[in-house]
Amino acid sequence: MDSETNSILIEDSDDSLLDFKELNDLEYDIPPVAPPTLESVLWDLESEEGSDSTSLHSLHSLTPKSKSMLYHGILQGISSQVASAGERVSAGLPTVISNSVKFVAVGTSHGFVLAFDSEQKLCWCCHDLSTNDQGAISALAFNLDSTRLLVGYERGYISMIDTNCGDVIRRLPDAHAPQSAVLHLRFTSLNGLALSGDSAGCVFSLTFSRRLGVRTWDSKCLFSGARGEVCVFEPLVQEHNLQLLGQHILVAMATLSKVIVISIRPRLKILFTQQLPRIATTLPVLSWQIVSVGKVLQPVLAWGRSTELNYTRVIAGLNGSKLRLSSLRSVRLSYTLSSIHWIGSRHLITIDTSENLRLIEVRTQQELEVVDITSAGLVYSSAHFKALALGGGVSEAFALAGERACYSSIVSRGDQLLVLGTKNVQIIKLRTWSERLNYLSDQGRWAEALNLAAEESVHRDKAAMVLLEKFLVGLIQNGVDRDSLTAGINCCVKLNKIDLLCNDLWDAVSSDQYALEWYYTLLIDHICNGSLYFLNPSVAQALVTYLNQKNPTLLENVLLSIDLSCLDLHQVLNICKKNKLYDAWIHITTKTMGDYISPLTEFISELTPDNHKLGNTLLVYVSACLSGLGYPHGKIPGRDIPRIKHDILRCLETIHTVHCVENEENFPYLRALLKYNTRECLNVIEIAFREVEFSGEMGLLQRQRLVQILLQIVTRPEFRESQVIILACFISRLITSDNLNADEEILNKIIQSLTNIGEKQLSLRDHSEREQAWIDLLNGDKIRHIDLDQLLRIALDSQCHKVAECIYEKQGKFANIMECYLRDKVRHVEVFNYIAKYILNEERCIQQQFIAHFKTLVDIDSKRTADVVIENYSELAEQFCVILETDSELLYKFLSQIIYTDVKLSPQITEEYLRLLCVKNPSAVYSYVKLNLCRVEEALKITQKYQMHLSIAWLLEQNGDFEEALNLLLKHNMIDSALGVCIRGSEHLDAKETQKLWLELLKHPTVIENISMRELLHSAAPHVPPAQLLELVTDANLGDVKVLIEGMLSDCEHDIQLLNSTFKILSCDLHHGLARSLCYHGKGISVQTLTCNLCQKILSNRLENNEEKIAVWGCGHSFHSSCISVLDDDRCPQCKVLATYTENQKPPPRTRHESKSDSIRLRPDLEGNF
Amino acid sequence: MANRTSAAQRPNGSTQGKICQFKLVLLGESAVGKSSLVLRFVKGQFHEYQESTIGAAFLTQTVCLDDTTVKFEIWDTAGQERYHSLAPMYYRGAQAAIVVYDITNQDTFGRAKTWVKELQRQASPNIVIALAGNKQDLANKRMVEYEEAQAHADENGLLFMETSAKTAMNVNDIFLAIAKKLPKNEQTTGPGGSGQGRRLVEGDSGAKTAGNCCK
Repeated sequence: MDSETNSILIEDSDDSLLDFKELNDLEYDIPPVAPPTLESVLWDLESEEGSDSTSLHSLHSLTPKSKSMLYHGILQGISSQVASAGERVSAGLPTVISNSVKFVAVGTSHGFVLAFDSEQKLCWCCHDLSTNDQGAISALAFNLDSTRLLVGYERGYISMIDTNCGDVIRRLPDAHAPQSAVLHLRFTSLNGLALSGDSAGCVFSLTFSRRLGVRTWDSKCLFSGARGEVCVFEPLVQEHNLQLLGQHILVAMATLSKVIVISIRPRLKILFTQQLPRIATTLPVLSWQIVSVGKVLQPVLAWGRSTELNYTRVIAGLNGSKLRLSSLRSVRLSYTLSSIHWIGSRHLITIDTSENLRLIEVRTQQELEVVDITSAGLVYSSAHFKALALGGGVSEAFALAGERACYSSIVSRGDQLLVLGTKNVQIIKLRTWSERLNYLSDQGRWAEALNLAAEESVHRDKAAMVLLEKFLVGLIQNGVDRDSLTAGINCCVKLNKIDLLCNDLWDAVSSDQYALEWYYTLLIDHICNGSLYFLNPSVAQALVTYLNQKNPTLLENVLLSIDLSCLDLHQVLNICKKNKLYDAWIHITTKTMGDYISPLTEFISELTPDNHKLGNTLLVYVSACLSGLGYPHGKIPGRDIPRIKHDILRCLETIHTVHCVENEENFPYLRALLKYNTRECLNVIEIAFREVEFSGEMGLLQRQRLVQILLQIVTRPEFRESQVIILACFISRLITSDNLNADEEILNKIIQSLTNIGEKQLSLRDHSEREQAWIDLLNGDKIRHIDLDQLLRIALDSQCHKVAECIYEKQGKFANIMECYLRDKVRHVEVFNYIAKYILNEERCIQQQFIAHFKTLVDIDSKRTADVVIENYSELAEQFCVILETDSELLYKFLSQIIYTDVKLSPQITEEYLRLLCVKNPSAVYSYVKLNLCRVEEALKITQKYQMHLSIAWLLEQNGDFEEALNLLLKHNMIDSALGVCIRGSEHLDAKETQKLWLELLKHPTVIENISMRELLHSAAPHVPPAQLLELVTDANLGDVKVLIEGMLSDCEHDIQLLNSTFKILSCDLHHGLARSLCYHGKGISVQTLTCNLCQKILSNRLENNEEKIAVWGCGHSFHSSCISVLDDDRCPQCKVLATYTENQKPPPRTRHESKSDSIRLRPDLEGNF
Repeated sequence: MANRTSAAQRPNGSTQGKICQFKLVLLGESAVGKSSLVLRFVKGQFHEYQESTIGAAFLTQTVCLDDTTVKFEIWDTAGQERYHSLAPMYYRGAQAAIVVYDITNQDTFGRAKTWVKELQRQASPNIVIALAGNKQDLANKRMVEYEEAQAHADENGLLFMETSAKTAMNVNDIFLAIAKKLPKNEQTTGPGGSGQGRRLVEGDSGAKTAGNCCK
């Protein structure tokens, strides 16, 4: 034991398991100091051989072209030597493989163990003759230091080999259950402690020690197969320098039904059990890995069966105290697991039953790659699971599940996985990031390589740089495709390799027109989304030239987002000017030269009223500058703001340009802006006036000065009237808000421009603004030097009725106000609001004005006028009608609004309306007549005049003149109405006249044509004797009569039937009523107390006082009838409920039964029901 | 342009592919012939009526010097007063500057002197400055004496030549003289590494070249 621990210390250099420390990120920068491990050497070997074309096979990578995460190759050396051992010394087929830091061991079916070193050289071959009868090797296990190898045989024998020489140093013939094959052997982290599992499902712990130079061993049963056979177990092996769990040694085991994690040192303890899915044909799988969860390293167990995969982690306190396991995640797979192995600390390899190997990223559970390993001819150890060599004796379930056991033919270590096949031994390796870069670049898959580099290269510049340079070389030699160029540029931008991007890459693509264009497109994208800010001047220059031809708009975007110091300003500014890229021009000039005036001076000659792009640009620019903001975005440095504001203002106030041409008008810049868009220009100035520069004493002077200039510029005829008015409004706004001292001169000018009656009609907006400005001035009391009368005159002359109203208001001449409204075509509807507002105000004389302007008002809006009349002047309605008498149109409009309301109107007016209606809307006459608002005689006269037959008939009917009405209607063939007259007539007239009426109707020749005979007869039948009726119809067709008679008969039959069923229903009801009543009355009622519930006196006491009666309710309360005689309610005075019975029926009618003396039992009075 | 493409085709990793990239800026009063000088150097052309430069123009030219290729990135600044404020953007980080004056105009020489002063004060300390008296073809109208300018150049450690863009006199020579004077020692740059090389120049070569400048 001691010697072994010593050797452990010596060999403590393996770091292949340390992958979980996220070495991936660091390894590129820190070259490994430790001696190479088997993995690294194997790997190097493979890679090198791969590049050497002579040893073709060992180099040949099996990975398909599309993926790069996994290297898949054949360990040619081992494969061929295993094969030759089989041929030459009849070692048999390989059955088991195991690897350690230094060795790979392969066991064969004839009991041979072959050990290979890191260069795939055979170190030794052990064929123990004493175990010749033990059959095939069924399990192999190295200890952590690779000094010892445990060998298990098919027939149960176990031996231990010294790996240095291949000598057997311990023999364990009976270490476990007899008659069972050794299925698993594993060393724990301790060299003196191993575990073995056999086909009986038992697990034994094997301890080795060396006392007094004698090697001894001992075995102890940990888990008996009697309680459930263990299919697989896996101890958690930690490096010696890693003490995550203190002294604990954990073993994960899986039986056919459960997964169990136990601690075997220091004490045997079960830490975790969980059910496994019961899929009889599959084996459970287990794999440990130490993973960094956050910043802590924790062992994670991956376990599963069939399609279920789980992750469980071990959480430990300090020094391994308080161990517990907690579930991390559970995944359902689309395939059936036959093996799982961690590869590296972030990936898991699963192998399914069809021998597809999948790489899964544990964090995301994403399936990264799939590799087909069927070419290996994977070795299955089902024979051992069935213990065929021992003649079976294995439980059926165990044998069935073991059909696809490959526990001992796939082994993993670090980021490698070895697959033992009958044909060869294959290696699967996870490539590191830099290996992937190399691999992809070697294959010329630049796009993938560069994307990968850009993805993760933030901390790994160097590798990416190397890659990029390689890429460039390839590019120069072989040209380039779009994807890889995209990726390359991405990579450069991401790593900020502007030199590379602009020098070498550009040089490389510039010979190929197609690639160059794509290169430009990509640059533009990067510039526009802000990821690229600086370019080499040469490239920038070329890019500008390119864009100038292709897409000037895009050029502007690029110019706005690129560093200006890399631009050829001469070129760029000329192009901008030529293409009218004003924004870019302004941006560049202002940012580079700090020259804020030239945007104005440069383009002023191009500023025409139609050049909206320039005009708006300049207005926004001026506004931004005056507010101290950068254009088109950003900010001006704080210290420059006052200077820039001053510059711009001075420029606007410049009287003449530098190169003054003859007869140039003064203030060219401001004038041009005003001419372009006066309103917006003034808005810009108004906004600017809020700035600090324009406040205070000095600011006031500035404003004053600017306003003077504006007044000088904006004059007719150069400017249109509306523009002059806009200026006037602007100034008056300033004056009313006390931002400008209004001297008389300015005021006069303003008033003049406000009042000027131009030849052209002003737009509504201008007009209303003008009025508003004027009113504001008035209200602000700014026009003191002109007296109101004069103003009023001007206002009336210039059609400013609103102003006039305002002045009237001021003067108190309310009588004229309404006229102001009425004259103003735009506002005349608002007069009603005015009326509504002041109607109760005596002062305003609304009524007089209303009457005076009544006609106009009706004309404007008859409805609202009528509303006013109805609400306020209903008593004057007649007078209004008189006013309108001359204008029948207005009268009609007005009356139609008020006639249907409850305003009292004289019959003359209603009849007048009827007359108007007859003329204007004959269809409404009938319904109007029916309202009965007119005198009947007059109405008759009018309607007769206008031949309104229906109305006449109705009026005649009103007069009782049914016959005449009928005649009229029949004459005009209005049969429906005639029928109505007959029906109504029969209600009012005696039988004889009725009959006459009907006969009249029936005799009319066209009647039959219009109404169905049957309907007619039906209506007539009650009033006309059947005989006469029949007589009337005899001259009709037989068919008609037949139908008539049939109809009558069926009517009769129907009636009889109806009668019968009604009788039936009635009797039925009666019967039910009787039955219910009987039932209820037949029940006794128990009287709860013998006292009257009202007077509280005993019921019987009163008996002596003559014939006192007692009333009892269904609820059991009883009272003296004299006590309740005051109540006229049917409810029991106690419960206030109608005495109900059990069901929800209507309570029986008052069951108040009068009884004599003690005869409390009651009988229903049935007679009343009949 | 032709030169640049030839640079792209240089054999990879060969020892003679030593490439240096330098930023050069032209300064001087307006209308002294800066743009003409550059145009003559880069394209071998001369326009009688050269339009005035706006802001700054950018051109490149490659010259071969023994076993090294020197690539000039030339910033031709505008001479007008309003663009004066732009100049620092270009001369900062430049390895060489040519200050141009017009020998027929004494004022421009005065302006050139102030440019030299500004460069010495504000540009990188090891900048190579050349003084060019342009329009030598108009020597009969000379207002600035050769000796005067030479004396000023000596005093300040400047390269000095009188040039003529019109006749191409001394134009290539002055650029070549600058190229020779620029430090190239540590610029063993392979393909793709020229950018790094340039950075080395800015930082490392200072001590080495200081002596050269002031000789």
